[in-house]
Amino acid sequence: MFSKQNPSFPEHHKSFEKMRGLLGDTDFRKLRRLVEDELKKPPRVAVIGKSGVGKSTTINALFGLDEKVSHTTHGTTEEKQQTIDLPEGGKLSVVDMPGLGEDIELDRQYQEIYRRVLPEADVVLYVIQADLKALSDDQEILREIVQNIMGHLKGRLVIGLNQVDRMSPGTWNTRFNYPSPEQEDNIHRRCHNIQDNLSDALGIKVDQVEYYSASKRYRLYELLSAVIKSAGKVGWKLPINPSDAIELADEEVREFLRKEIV
Amino acid sequence: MNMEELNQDELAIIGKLRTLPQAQQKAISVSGESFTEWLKTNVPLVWDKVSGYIDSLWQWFKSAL
Repeated sequence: MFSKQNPSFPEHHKSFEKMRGLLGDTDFRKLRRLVEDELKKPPRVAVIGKSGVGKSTTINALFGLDEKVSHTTHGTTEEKQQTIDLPEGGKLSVVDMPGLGEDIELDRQYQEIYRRVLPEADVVLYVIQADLKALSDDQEILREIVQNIMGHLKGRLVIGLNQVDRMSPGTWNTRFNYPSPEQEDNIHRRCHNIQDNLSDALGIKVDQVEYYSASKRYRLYELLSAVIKSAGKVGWKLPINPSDAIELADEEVREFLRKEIV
Repeated sequence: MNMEELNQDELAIIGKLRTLPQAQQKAISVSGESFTEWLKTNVPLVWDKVSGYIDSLWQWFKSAL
């Protein structure tokens, strides 16, 4: 970390050297050490959602972790916490929470875990499955979280709508790895519908529902922005390295896409 | 492959895909804002000196990681 002698940002080099001169060598070294020490403390991301919504897939795709976070066994009554050494430096702590909605008795135990873990998380990502119309379970879980657990921590909650590639009319464009225009319209409608629905059920204004597909790597930067923002002062420690969506397009169009979207 | 070979839906998709760099830039920008907040709160004395150079400091920090 901080090992490069010649950072590659010529447009900022002069300005940077001026700032370094202002600080002086001693203060600059102190600042560098502070940043390094801070990076050793992993930001804590808690992921919640019903079973099968793609929590682990989301974390892996969102942070480009190459399957470092594995699936939690169904029915477990423990949260699963992993601290991951990031390839570009720094660490990330992921708490994969047990999925609610399988069993009433288990749900009670889960709620205890939620009460213990969530207040300590820097950011909580609640994942909803896009192609399931019924929202009542999600409403109930979110109500519990917002009203009884997180309270003033509401700003740290991000609501993500995963698996949008499965939405009606099922016309995901596999060649370009992107929703068809018709499917994208449906996704937008579903998102607004969920936003209104949750706002009514929770009694708070749900400003945004971030829609994405972890398995297709669709809109990961948008979800990542929301997560970083909600993590507040520790958000800068989260890696900006989501999995590459274009890698999943047909091989014959990948090069074309990379040229076109620069 | 060129643009003439694409149908209407695919042209629309290319248009949408062109927003990807902006989405990436937004994530970087939000991360930079968060770093600024951390500096202001945790290292106020340093912040007073470097506030005018925060972009440069952030660029250096990201490239040095």
